[in-house]
Amino acid sequence: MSQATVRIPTPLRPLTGGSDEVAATGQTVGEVLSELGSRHSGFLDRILDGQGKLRSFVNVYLGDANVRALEGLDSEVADGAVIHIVPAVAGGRGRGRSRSRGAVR
Amino acid sequence: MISNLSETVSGSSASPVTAVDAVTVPGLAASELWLTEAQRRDLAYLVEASYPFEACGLLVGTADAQRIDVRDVFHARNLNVERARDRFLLDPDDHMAADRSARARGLDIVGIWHSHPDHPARPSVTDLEAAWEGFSYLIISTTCCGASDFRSWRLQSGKFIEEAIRDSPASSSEAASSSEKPSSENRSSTELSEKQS
Repeated sequence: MSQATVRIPTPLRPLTGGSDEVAATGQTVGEVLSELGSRHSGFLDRILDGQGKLRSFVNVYLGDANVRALEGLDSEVADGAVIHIVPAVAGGRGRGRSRSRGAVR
Repeated sequence: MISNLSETVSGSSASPVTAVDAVTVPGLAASELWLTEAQRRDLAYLVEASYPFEACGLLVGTADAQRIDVRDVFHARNLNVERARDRFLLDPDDHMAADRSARARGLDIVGIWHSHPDHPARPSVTDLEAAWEGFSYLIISTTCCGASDFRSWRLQSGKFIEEAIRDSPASSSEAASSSEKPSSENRSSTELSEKQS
């Protein structure tokens, strides 16, 4: 098992007791996030959808790389790795709905 | 430039334009966003340079429940090229770089800023749908004549509530560099380039 540091963005800190970074273990990004989710209720629901896939409005970086450009949640985590959770930020004066989701966060 | 209005915006309106309700609720806004004059100038420069397209970026600083102090303004790329006149998608790589820079200095990303070209500085349904609780959303209305209005909002229980914008005293470094200040774009872009390298 690798030990990783997960950096938590401001909007998700209420789910980690206010911590801006949390240690978690796992061999892959998905395992690390799941282990973190097992300790912090509600956390995983904000990151993964009902099929266990990364939500479209959340980006996860392993080191400098967006995991979508790697192996996604199956990306292997080395001991001491740093995982950043980066909320997708969008908006604009646009007219009408651009997405199907609501302000559920 | 100080806004004391307290206004809520929700996504329940049938209006096809901004599609939001706006209700004045005095005293409801509990937080204040503090910006220096130099930061306002930086932001004005950035949104005017991008006009008629939307500009976006991040606010870095410190925050508690009542007060958000902005220390740095970061310019980010708008990845929504096709709809850049009325939408933005902030480049997550820029977000990541700003986050790293902030953490290295003991700061946080405390908010998002973006422009509304030829549109009021009020959140749209598009803004509401993509919003996160915990961030300030600074919106700058921009016309061909320049940045015309700064207003800031926070999402609470699915509604945007306006927060006051206060004038923060200039930091000593800002005051020292004001006479030879580079353009806002150069400064923020330089910071971001350094972080990305």
